Amino acid sequence: MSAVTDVLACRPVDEVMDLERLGTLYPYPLSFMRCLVRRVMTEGWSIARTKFDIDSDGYGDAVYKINTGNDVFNFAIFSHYLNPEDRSDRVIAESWDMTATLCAGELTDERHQRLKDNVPLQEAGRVDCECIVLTRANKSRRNFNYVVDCLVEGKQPDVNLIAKVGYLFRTTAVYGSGKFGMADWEKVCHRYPDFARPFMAEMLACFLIRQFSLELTDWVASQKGPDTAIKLSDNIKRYFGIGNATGLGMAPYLINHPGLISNWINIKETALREVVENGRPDAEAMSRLQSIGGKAIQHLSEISTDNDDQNELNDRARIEAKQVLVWANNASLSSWYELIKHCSDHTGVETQELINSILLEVHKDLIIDLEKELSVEEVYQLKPQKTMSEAQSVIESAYDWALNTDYSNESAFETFWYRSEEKMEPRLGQRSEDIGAEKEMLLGIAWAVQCCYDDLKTYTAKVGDRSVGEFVFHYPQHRYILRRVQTMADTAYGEIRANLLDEEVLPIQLLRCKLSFFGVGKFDPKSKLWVRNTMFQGAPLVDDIGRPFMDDWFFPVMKMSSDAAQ
Amino acid sequence: MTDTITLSINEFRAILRKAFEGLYGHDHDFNQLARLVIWLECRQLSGVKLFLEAEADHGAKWDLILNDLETGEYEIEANGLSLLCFGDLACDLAIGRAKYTGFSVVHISGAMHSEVIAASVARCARNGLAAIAWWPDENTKVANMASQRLDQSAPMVCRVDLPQSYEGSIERVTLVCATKMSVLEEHYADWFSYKDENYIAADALTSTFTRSLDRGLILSIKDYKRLCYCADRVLVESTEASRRGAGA
Repeated sequence: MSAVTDVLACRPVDEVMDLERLGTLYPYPLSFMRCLVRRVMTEGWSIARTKFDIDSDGYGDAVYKINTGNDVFNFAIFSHYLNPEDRSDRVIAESWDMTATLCAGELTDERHQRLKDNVPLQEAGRVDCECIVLTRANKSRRNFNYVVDCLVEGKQPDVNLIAKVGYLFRTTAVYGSGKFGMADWEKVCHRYPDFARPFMAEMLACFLIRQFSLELTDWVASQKGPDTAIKLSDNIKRYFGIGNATGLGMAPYLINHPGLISNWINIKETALREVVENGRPDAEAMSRLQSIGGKAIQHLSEISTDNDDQNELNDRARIEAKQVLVWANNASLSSWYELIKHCSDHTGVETQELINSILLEVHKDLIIDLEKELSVEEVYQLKPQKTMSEAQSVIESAYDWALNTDYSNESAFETFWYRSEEKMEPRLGQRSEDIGAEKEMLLGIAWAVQCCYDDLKTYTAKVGDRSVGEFVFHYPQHRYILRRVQTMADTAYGEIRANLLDEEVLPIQLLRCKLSFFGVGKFDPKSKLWVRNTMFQGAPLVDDIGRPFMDDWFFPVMKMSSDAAQ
Repeated sequence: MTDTITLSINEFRAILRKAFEGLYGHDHDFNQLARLVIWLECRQLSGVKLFLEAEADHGAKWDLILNDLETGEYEIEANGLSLLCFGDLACDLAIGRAKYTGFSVVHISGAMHSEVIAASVARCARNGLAAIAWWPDENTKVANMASQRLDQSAPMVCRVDLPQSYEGSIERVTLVCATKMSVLEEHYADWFSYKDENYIAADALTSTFTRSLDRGLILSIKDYKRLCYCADRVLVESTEASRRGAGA
């Protein structure tokens, strides 16, 4: 058996799409943040601050103008005073430290004023159809005040202290795709080639919030101590990312966009196959493996979270990754498959996925071109010409995992997902206790498939093998799921295999899966329902555009930052 | 203060999905129903108006009767239901049979909002089938017709003189699709002799969609509020207990 066939065999669909594994994914070179930064740096985008009308306390307006070479965009920021009691990461918050929009088109004074009237309102406001992203962020007061005080005193902040948080501002929502009157995704991806890949515009908005947070810190320090303040060193600036708080809202997205998620997974698995097939573990690659692996281990050791489960996962991954690197050093590998197989046999899932991401970094030149494939048009078409028996067969083969979900136990059906009247915030309920189950969202895919399958069998027995078109005419409640089943059965990886109705469901696994594709690191779960994390930590600064770029800012560690600061 | 609001198509879609979900729960394909209204509205074919009328008539009983006739044609008795609610189901029947046999016919009687069938013509074309549909007009001497060849991006919609074979009136909606346009033109030559007046060309329908995508959809505040009211039916009352389910 060839190595390629072996690796295919060792990554079967039911393993890859298992939610527990998806909940351990790490960022990799095709994660969206990485794609964005590569593009900004290699294409030499121009990002210029064209307005900075900010008072000495840090409140006011700022605008950054972005020239990508293809188009010009503006990022309009509104920095506000926020009562500390109102600072919340929740969707239901109504005020924030800063709000912003990324927009195409000219930013006239009139338009700026209109945006100023609406952007700070976020969900309660309306923006125009040339706006692409609407977002907001809150300060990490602890870090912001500490860093400002240090700078006023003429000293750089202690990297060990800022590492605990890793950011100055934290985004709490990043909206795109036509929300609140903005441009539709279909318009954005056709009109603006720079943003034609998933979440590129949203990532740019986060990158610019990070830039603003750094410049704001320098500014406030300079106003507080005009004679004493120094600027934050560039190396420490690079070590600051932009925080993010992600809650349940992201989970339904994954379930409602199975075609997109399947494509992202397919690309990552294709990349892994490419590395196994064409990447050689020669001396140079082994050296990169050890170097990147060492950095990853240090990165893990520097993650600070109060979540015991996450700490345990990080510790285990760190220890196992160390052992794997020692083993690899002595193993005289002839193919990377041997490394993957070793991990599969000797380490936990978290470490396996960590090593996979490291391997993809080692050979990123082999996989970069796959970046172009990240977009996919999502069309879920019913095939009404198929027979009911054919539909049953498709379910039996592609959705066996759904049929095998045991709903005889009430706990498998205990959770329901719904939208609260409080700003439509997604929430979880317990079916046996909470109100609202009759309005639950359709996220129990396994359950829906089972119901459809049962009715297909019953109706076939009654009328014979008729068309799917006739079946859905009589059972319209199954049209959606059949459309989905018939479409996803043709994809390489299909659905996330999980019962989201189970009492023990861990939404945080869904969140981490998606966040890994964004390129997010330093997961800090606050409960099983939401997570804090850090984006763009270690990434270049705007001032770095035009300088040599190594695309090596992943797995950020504090040592280089503290060394450079001294 | 303006009495209109501009929505993106995606925003419109999200509201409609919730509105249909609020109306039918999971008993129907609310995503597809939303698509149907969007298709109509983005082409200035009154999707919102039809939705609101259908919503007001929500009490109408879901009492569809399907007959598979010996002629190989389907016949649906709608018993007063809006075609907005089951147009896609009728289209499924048409596509399913035409994909098998190369040709299919669906007749629909007793349906509100006959004009919705124009969207089915477009859907057939997206599925690789040439299609034609006709439906009654207020003026009983003419009928409405929509047709789409495979090389068109949208249907052509027009009024035609009632073919003589109909003896003065038509009462039902008919959707016909085939793998080849020539088959339709041969079987239904009467319907293709439309006058070049009062018709919406395929290009016009396409450009209205493009304009909607580019500049957004303009709705009256009144209609928007009614849509939101329908969409809000999916929301669950917030309680202290429910806030625990948000992770707070």
